[in-house]
Amino acid sequence: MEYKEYNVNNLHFFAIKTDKFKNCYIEVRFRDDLKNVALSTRLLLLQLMSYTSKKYPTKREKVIVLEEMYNLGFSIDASLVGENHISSFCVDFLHPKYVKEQNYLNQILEFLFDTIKYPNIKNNHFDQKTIDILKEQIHVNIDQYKENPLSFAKIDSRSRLFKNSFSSKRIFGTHEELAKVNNKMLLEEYNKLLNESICEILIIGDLNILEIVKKISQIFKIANDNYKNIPCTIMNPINKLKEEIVKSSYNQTQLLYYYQIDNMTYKEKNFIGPLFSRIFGSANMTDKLTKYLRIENSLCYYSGFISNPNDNYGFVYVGLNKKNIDKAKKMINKALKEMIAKDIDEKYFENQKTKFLADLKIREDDIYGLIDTYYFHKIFNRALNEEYALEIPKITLNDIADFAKKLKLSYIYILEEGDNNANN
Amino acid sequence: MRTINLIGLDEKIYYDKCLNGLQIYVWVNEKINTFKGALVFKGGAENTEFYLDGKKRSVPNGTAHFLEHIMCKNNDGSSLLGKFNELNSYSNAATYPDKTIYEFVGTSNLYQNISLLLKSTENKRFIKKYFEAERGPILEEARMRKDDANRVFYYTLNNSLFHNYPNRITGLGTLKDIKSIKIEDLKLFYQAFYHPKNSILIITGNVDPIKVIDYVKKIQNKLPITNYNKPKLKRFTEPNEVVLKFKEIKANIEVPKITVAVKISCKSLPKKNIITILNIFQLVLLSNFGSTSLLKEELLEKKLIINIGVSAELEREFIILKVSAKTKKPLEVKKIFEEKIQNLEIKEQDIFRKIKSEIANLVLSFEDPDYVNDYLAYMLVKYHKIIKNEKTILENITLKDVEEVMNLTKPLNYTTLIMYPLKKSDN
Repeated sequence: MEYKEYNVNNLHFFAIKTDKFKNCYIEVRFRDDLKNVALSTRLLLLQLMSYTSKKYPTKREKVIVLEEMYNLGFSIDASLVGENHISSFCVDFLHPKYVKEQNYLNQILEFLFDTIKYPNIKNNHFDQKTIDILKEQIHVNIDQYKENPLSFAKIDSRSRLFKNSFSSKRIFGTHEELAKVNNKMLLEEYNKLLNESICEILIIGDLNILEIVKKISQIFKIANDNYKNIPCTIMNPINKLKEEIVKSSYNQTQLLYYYQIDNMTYKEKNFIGPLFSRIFGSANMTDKLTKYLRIENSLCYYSGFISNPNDNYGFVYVGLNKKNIDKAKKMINKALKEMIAKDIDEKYFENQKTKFLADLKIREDDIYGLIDTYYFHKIFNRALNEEYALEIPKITLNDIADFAKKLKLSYIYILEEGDNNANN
Repeated sequence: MRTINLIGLDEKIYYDKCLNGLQIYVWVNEKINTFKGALVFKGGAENTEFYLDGKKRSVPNGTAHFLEHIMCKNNDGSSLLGKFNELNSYSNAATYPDKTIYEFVGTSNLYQNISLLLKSTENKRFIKKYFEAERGPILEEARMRKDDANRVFYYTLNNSLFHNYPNRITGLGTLKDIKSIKIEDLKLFYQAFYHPKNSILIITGNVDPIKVIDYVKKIQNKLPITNYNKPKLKRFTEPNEVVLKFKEIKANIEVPKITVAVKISCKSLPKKNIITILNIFQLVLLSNFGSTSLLKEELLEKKLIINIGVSAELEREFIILKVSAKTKKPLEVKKIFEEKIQNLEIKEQDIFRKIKSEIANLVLSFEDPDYVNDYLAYMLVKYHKIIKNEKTILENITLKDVEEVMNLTKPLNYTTLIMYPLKKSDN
């Protein structure tokens, strides 16, 4: 596997040459400061650009072309990393050696960059019919999370805990913001995307990387190098502990325990925190939460701990019967106390370290995971697998206990099941 | 050992059988780090009634799933998954309507993983204390599923489609079923379905097929060969007609959802390979309702739908065609879907373009050990064989084949289900 990095014409390329996969993947990322992105407008813009283009003014025509190109996987994505907003255009395609057409790779690159350069704008207007269709779809997607009690609990609790922080932002924006989006706003957002964003291009596959870099820099140019440092961590202030109970009509209660974790070091974010998370709450039925909540007390089917180092917090989640809330709370506290007291079997601890490294090897078999790890290393200072292999074995029980001590319980959120739920 | 060549895909499946009846299938990808092992028992959630030693036996709904949970426990009540963890692997288990699968995914200690997987299902001890302790988590799992509107929709639709098929009842069982399951039910199910002669070991990924097969045969062939009386499964007679033409329900969703499902008896179809028939139905549905159809374009423009999905599935002796949509105007969409599904068009150009993309999907799918493992388990349990020429089947579909399959007797048997969001006042 060869890792390559190029900077050409204000485009920043990150590439991995590997013959591991039958497919290849190229992603164009436009990275912005979240403060400067109108979330609803940006998402609608990306969807418009994905739906049609100048060359293919209807969705139908666009899909026909994708099918003709051996089911070329074309998608857009939007994501948040700390204060970064990332807008992506992705193509996922069969390696050219499997197809008859000599010009296949060029066709794909042209398709991808035509999509970005030539959206379906006529007389300075995006197609209103398409705007209406997509607005309707996004309105529906905004509320999709309400169909699952755990998703509802996660999103609702975040919005309550981090009311005025970037941590409460969702990629969709809000219904109100979306309703207000008009053609003028879309055109402005498109100009911002092309002229103010940092443009990063990810390439992975058994391809002639240099040739692709040359080809892309011929067909796609960015006027300015907009490179700047955008924080990838959001520092939320420590809150005074509070508990909220939200009534619902779901069949199962969700209990969420939020811990704020301040001043995480590089070592804690990359190595100690993830190892702590496994032992505390996500080690495939052997972690402390599963032991006390499920195996020893039969309180739940699922529980876990998710650490979010970008927003300096982590949370425990449990799906349970509301009559068991108090017992579950005791068990969560007990599990954390044991982490602080280093009450962890030495052999198990060493095994979790080796398992951690083994899981990274599994991730190396995922084309998207591989290129993403490389990108996150370069842009957000995340460790590469080689560094994990060096650092994970050095972690001690003291490191884990010190990290556990940093967890400050700041919020208990209970999404309570409906009163009318029959137990049959 | 013999090899099964998958024509046109440049892929091989290695096969052998142990003296005790256990079948072994291996697929290799040397370019990756990962391997996956799965032990598949041909008994699942729908096998609640069967004949064993000539006697009619039955277990409550949810027994296969409860047993799956108990099989994942060690004799000291701890989780078996922890033992796979010690081998640096991830493991899991799942109960399907017709099979139960125990699996691991890892990058090292392959032979220890295989040995652990095989040993964990031999001579299971059923300990009352741990059996009872597992009931709580299973009840919570069932309560969690009650909040899954898609599952509620799926089982309600099956109740509208089928009079007698067991897919009308949730595989987990109701809370009442789960509470009624006894340790004896688990023992009976274990005795009936958990035998090497009724199981398949599938290993996929970066492995040496000869060594894997030798290893498995070596350890399995040392075991005593026990008699196995394969249970005779209950046969279901199912009328061609649907149960209900139309049903409306409410659930915790945000936007109404509609499905029109057509029930076609396999007996009414031309004598062709079932894979060919399913592919043809899928392609025709896609060309009539998918992203390249004029109908979808029109419905989106008129703001009648948010999205559309289609599927063609084999359900025992019937093929079920489904067209589903999220829509704010379900009754208007109902009329359009019902009319269109009775008058499906054969769009030659569309169909043959879609075949090209289906072939690309097939080529790409033989890369991921997880996908290939699941695919083999699905084929071997559903069709009792591996389809060697799936690519050729797709390539050789002709317009005449499509016309023959689509020459359906009208009117079609179909049912329509609409799920509406609960209003606040419904709670």
